[in-house]
Formats: sequence, structure tokens, C-alpha cells
Amino acid sequence: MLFTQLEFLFFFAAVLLVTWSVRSKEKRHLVLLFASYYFYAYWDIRFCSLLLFSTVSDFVIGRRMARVRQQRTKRWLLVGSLAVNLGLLGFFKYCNFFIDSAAPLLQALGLSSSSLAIILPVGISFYTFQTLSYSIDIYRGVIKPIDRWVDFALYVSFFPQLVAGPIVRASEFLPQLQRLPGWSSRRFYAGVQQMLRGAIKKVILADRLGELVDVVFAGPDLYSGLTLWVASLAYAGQIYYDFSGYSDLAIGAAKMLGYRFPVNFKHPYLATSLSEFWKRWHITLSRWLRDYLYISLGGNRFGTLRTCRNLFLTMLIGGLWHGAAWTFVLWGGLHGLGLCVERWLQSRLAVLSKVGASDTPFAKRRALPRLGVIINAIWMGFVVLVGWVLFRSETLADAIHFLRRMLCFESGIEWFPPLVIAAMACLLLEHLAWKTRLRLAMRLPYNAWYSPVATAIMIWVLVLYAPTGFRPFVYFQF
Amino acid sequence: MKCNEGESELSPTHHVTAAPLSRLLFRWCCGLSFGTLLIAGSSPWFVRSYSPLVVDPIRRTWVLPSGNHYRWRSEGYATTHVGPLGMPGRVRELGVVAGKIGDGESINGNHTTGLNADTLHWAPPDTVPPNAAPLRVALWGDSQVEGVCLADEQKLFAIAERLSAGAVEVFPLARSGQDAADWLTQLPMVEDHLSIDLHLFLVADLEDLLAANRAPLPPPSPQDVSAGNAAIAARYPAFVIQAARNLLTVHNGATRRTLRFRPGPIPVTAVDPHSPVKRQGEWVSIQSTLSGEEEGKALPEGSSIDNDLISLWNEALSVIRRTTSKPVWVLDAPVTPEIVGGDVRLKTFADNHYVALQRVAPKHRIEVISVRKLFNDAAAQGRWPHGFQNGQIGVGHLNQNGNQLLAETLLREINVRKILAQGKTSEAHFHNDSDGSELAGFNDPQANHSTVGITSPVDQSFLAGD
Repeated sequence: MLFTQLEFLFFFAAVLLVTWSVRSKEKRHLVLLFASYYFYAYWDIRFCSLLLFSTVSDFVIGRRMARVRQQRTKRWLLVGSLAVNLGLLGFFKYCNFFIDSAAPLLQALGLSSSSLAIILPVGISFYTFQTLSYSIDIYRGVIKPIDRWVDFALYVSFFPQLVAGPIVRASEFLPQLQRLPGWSSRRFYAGVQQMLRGAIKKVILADRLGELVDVVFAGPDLYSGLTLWVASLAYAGQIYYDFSGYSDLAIGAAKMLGYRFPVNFKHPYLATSLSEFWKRWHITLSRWLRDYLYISLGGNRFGTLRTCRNLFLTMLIGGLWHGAAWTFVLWGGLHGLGLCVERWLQSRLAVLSKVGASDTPFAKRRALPRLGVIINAIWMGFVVLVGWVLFRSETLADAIHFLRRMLCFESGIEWFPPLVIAAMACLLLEHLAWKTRLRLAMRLPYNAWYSPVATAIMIWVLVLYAPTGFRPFVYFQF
Repeated sequence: MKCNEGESELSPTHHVTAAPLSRLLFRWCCGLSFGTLLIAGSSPWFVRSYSPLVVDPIRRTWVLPSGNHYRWRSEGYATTHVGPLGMPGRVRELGVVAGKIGDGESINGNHTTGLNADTLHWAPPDTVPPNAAPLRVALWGDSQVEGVCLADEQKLFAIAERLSAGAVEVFPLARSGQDAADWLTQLPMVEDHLSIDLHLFLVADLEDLLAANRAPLPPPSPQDVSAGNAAIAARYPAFVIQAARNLLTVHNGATRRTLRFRPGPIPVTAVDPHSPVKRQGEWVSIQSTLSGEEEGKALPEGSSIDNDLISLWNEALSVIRRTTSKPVWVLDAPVTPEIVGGDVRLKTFADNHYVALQRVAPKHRIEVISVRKLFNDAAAQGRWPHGFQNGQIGVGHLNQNGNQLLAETLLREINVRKILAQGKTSEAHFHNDSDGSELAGFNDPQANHSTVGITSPVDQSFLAGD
């Protein structure tokens, strides 16, 4: 079920009604658990068993891990949890990728290979990372295992974040289940507003941008280089609005139910460096990768070269997490490489700054740090934009072809739909407005005169101007 | 822990003083109403019209009310002014019948249309200046020809009239969703009323012509869907209708929305391989390129066409011929080339329906003209005949390029057949002059150019108006 489907409105209204009418914490959790499994079953009831299996195994392993004292046994239990979670993820998400990638080698050896008919369970990448964080945190002693199975099952399957995040950690959500959230009209109102904003982002802006993106990426040969530039910029907008719209909807829905989710986006295109971009984009994923992968690999503790290796590997795996295709791996690799280059640039500029500390006019004007910011920003723009072309293309060859036509400004159909340009202008204005005092107004405080006017306009715009046709969220495929 | 972006530092009521509940409710009611008013006020810029249709007493069909205007706000973005007989864009008075041409009869003198101004809300026509004898063409078709996505001066009839500098008068009688059954039902009344010399059936989908077998249709009745829609359109503002339509229907109003609450998976319906949507041999798909090679290929000589198809076409064309004795031209203008999933699909002549129509048409003294190749060539030169910047290039309705090509083709064919030079239409001459092939125009090297060949004084006048 999509948050933007009409069915969801009815479902969510019913869940809200029942949830807030139940006074007992345990019963409320049961209601939410049932609702969450129904939400998942709406897509495919068969895969509820997978969700259940993942939940049960981590619940059991977590409890066992807390009981044993020997570090070695704990480690084996953690390995067991990793094997179950990554095994499921590997089979359902990457099996065909590995078979297809190994096909040329197998053929060279005279062996035949054929892809398996595997359906990718929706949200598997997200809930696997959540259950993994639970096991790892117990292993590390950050949290204690939860006693009630229902609470743990609710943490894994809570419907607002089940299929596309944000990736909520056990340490963030489980403590919230210890108490019964009280009714707060302000929080409820804030949730409604956030859901409305999310719906506008997804339905009006992302889907509108997608109309150009889908067509141009399907046949880049037909379109001019300038149109390809516009399409790649439009995709940057589409994926941001699509995913941050989903996050807003998820966070808003959770808020209306009395729970809080972590922030997932902070206007990423305001970043002036690639590392800052990753502090603003899909924050819950980059945080997860940092804490459970990058730091586990050694982080930045063993010199520049090891740091770069760790950065590169983390981003490469992050890319693979997004999808089972070489384009995603390369996208991650590009960002990893980008972060390494940025680090190197920063270190060079730091050296230059020290050299220029003598009274040269250049250093006096503090031109070097500014130059550094500009270089970093340009580098970030380049990596992000090229990365999005890789991310959106079906195959590596398609991506290279697209980039070649784009950079060579080849001739073709010049197509610049006005509404797409308007949506791109929205992206720019929204980012700029966020840096000003307008950010206060954009949150529509409940007792500001303009809030009801803006709310009415948002509702009407959603009903009147949504593009027709079914467009699932981009991140559902991950 | 933080909530979503920006909400970490600021509370929802930051810098705003608390207000009593009743005042807050009042403020919200006023604000929501004001917001709705803003949407209502700005909706004409973004929401299409829902005009209540009326039954035209002459055409005896549902048409847009004369004197009104009709907004189209998706691809194309245009406002159409509706003229007499519900003709989109042709708002000039029907100062008709300066010299009635056809059936060997010639009329001199001044005539009026005899339209009922009260019914049509239209000014009574002026008298017609003497000695003017334009060829009067009735243009029939569906939404492609109706052209509400284009401004009035960019509509097919307007371009043709402008190019002909008054030598041809075109009456746009096309209506969205209509087919040959509708056209033939209206045809006798319109023919008499407007003294039509030539009927031009402009079809994007040839199967629309096969509907001739259903003609004549029963007269409009209050039970028609159009009657119900007209009542709704008269009662509610367009933005409310649009909102209701978006909520209650899917596929742009075509299907009533149904909600599913049953758990998945949803069984996937298999596509019927014999579905008329994709007919064998009809399309050539060329991966992301526009080549002029494939689209010119016709079915091989002597290739077998289903006899049932031939008899179907025979029947349809005989109905057309029985309905009118005036010349009938079929202008075959499919959506070609079309961009589908990154591929350019060219409609070829190797289309069973097209071939069957070709074989049958001469027997019924019906001319078939195709612009398939012309459209494909134009697109190869960057002049795509279909689609708009605010829709998708290469998909959808005819744009100004497409209409320009069609108008030029129409005038060229009129010139080739020397209808204007003769001063009247003789069907015998008409068919002797033509080789009976829809490719006549394309075999002529001049005809492949997008402009009309200048071979006579009449031709000069065609271009003078451009």
C-alpha cells in the first residue's frame, strides 16, 4: 500500500481511530502490529512469513546473546544473526545479480547459467538493516534485548517505516515503546502538516519531474544534449522529492500515532561538499553505514590510505545496498572515490594555507578557504549529478551513452516541459528559502493566519493537479 | 532524537502567540475558505473547461455551445472559441453559399444559413459577397482533428483557409470521441445546410471508419451520458468537477475508481496477443532512431488480406457512399512516428486495415490520402507532427506542425485534382484524374516537400495567405 493511495487514507484513518481509542499499551502495540502486517500483506501476503522469520530469529538471538557471558559465543550468535539477515537479503536481492555477473565466466568454463524467478520482497533492505542494528547493538552492549516479542515485532514491522525507511535504530524506537504515548493535538497537527508536505513533494513535484525523466532516460538518443542536462537535473529533483516526500509521510504518520522517527533529509543540495551532502542525504542510512560498517572497518584511525580505503568500501557497499546492478555499485564507488578526492583536496588546501600563513596578500584575503569551498562545491555537484545518471540508467552502457551525449551537447529533440521547469524552480526556491527566515513560515504553525490558507491550497492542489497514472516511490525497488 | 528536517530546532508554534480555541476555529474556517477561493479563482489557468454540451438542431448531436469558449489545460494549453454548429475555433458567421458547387448545380446570389440565432446564441449571418465561390469542405474526425489543444489560428481548418487565401472554406465538424457512425448521422443535415462540396474524413485510427456500419445513430436523448454530464457541468464549477473526477475515476475519467483492501498479490492479467491494440505488421519499431527506410514499405504485392476484413471495409464504405453523393476523401493521419518507451515507432503502409481500405475505396469512389510517410519524414527533419512541449513530443494530439502538414496536403490534393480550377466538383473527373492510389501525392517528387507545389494561379493564392 502506498501512502499516496486513496486506500491508505481509509486504512490510516481506521488505524488512528483504533489506536487512540485503546488505552492499554500492550493492546495498542498489538493493534499496530496487526495493522503493520496487514499493510505489508497488502503488497504480498506470502512475504509476511519472511518478515516474521527475520523478526523471530533476531529476537531469539538477541535474548540469547544477552544471556551468554563468553565473548566468543556472543560473536558466534552475532555471526548467526548476520548470516540469517544477510543470507535472506543476499538470496532475494542479489542472487540473480551474482548469477548474471558470473554468466560470462560460467559460459567460458562450459557451464550454463540461468536466472531464478525471484521476487524482491518490498522493504527487505530496510528491515534487514533495522534487525541487524538490533543484534549489533546488543553485541556491543549499547542496548539490552527487549522482553516482549510483540514490541520487537512492532519495531521491525511498524508500517510507516517498513518499506522505505527511515532506518530507525532499536535504541531510538524501543524506548518509545516502553511508555504509552499521550495525546497531543500539536503533535498530531504537526504530523498532518508533515504528511501533507510529503504528499505534495511526492505527488506534485517528484511525479511531475518523473514525467520528463522517465521518457528521456528511456531513449536518450532522441533528445538533445541540453534536454539530457535538464533531465539529469530533473532526476536530482525527482529522487530528492520522492524519497524526502516518503520520509515526511512516514515521519508524519508516526507522529500522528505518537512516535518519533529520526530526521532523514536536510536539504542536501545546500551542501558545499560531498561529505556534507552525505550528512544531509538519507541520513539514517549514512549514519548506519558509518556506525556499523565504516567504523568497524577502522574508520579514520589508521592513516589516510586506510581511511580512503574504508570510505571507498563503505560507499561501494552502500551503492550495492541500493540495488543489485553494476550501475549502483559504480554509483557507490563514484561517491567513495569522490569522498577520497575531497579528503585529499582538503589536505592539500590545508597545507597550502599553512604555507600561505606568511603575510602574502593571498592569505590575507582568506582566498584559499573560499577557493576550497568553491572547488568542493563544484566537485560535489559533478559527482552527485554524474552519480544520479548512473543511478537512474538501466545499464552501465546506457549511463555512459547518456553522459557522452550530455557532455557533447548532441543534437536531438529539444523538450523542456514548463511544469517540469517549474518543479525544478520549486526545488531551487525551497532550498534557498530554507536558508532564510521563511523556514519558520514553511512549517505552517497552527495559529498563524496563513496556515489554514496554505493547508487548503495544498489539499486542493493534491486533488486537482496530481499527474495521472500510478507511480510508486523510487526507493520501493530497494 | 530529532524529527524530520528543520523541526529539531523549532517548535510548531515558535513566535506565535496562543489564541483561544473558538478564535482559532474561526480563523481556520475563514482561512480554509479563502484558500479554496484562491484555488477557484486561479483554476481557469490550470483546469480545463467542463462545458455543458447542447444538442445542435442542425447536426442533431451533442456539441459545445456556440459562443462559449472551451479551455484545454493539459498538452497544448489553449482556449477554443466555439462557433456556430459547435464548430471549435471557427467563430466566423456562416456567411455561406456564395456559389453552391456540387451535383452540377451552381447557385448565384445571396443566401443566409437559416440558423436559429436564439437556439445557437449566435449572431445572424451576414449576406455573402457575390462572385465568391470557395470550395466548401466538411472536416470530420475525432479529438485529433477537433484540436482543442491548439489555439484557434493553429487549428487545421484555420491553417487550410489561410493557406488557400479564401479559395477553400473548411468547416471543422470533428468532435472528440466521435467516429464514422456519428459523422454519417450528421452528414446529410450538414451537407444541405452548409452546401458542402467535399467531405474530408480525417482519421487517426482507420477503425474509426469501420464504425460507419453502425450509422445512423439514434437521435440524442436526455438519457445520454452527455446529457448527464451537461447537467453536472452546468451546476458545478470546473475545478470541483475535476477534483471529483480525479477522486472517483482513474485513467483520466475513463474508469470508475475501485478501492482494494484485499491483501496481495494481485493476479496479473495476461495481455491478449490478438488484441486489436497491436496488429500484425502495423508497426515498425526502430530503436531510438528515425530512419526513412522502413516506413515506406507496403505489404508485398498480392499478399493475402483476410476476406472478412475486405467485406467489412466494403460494407463500411458502401454505407458512406449511400449517405452522400458528394466527393469523399479519407485522409489517413495516424499517430506516426510515435515515441514509446524510448523507441520511435513508425506506422507503415503494411497495415492490413490500410491495405484493405486501399483495395476497396476505388469501387466506392472514395479517395484515400495518407500522410504516414509525410509525417515520418517531417519528424526525421525535427518537425514532429504530434505532441507538445507541455505533454510529450511524439505522443498525443496533432500540433501546429502536424496541422500545417495536413493543410498543405489537403490543398495539394485539391490542386492535383483540379477541383478549384474546374470551378466545380465532377466526380467523374475526380476519379479519372486520380490514379486511385493513396500514394499519388507521394509518388510525385514535388509532393514529398512539405510545401504545396505552385503550378497554377490557384496555387499561388494558397501560399499568398501564409
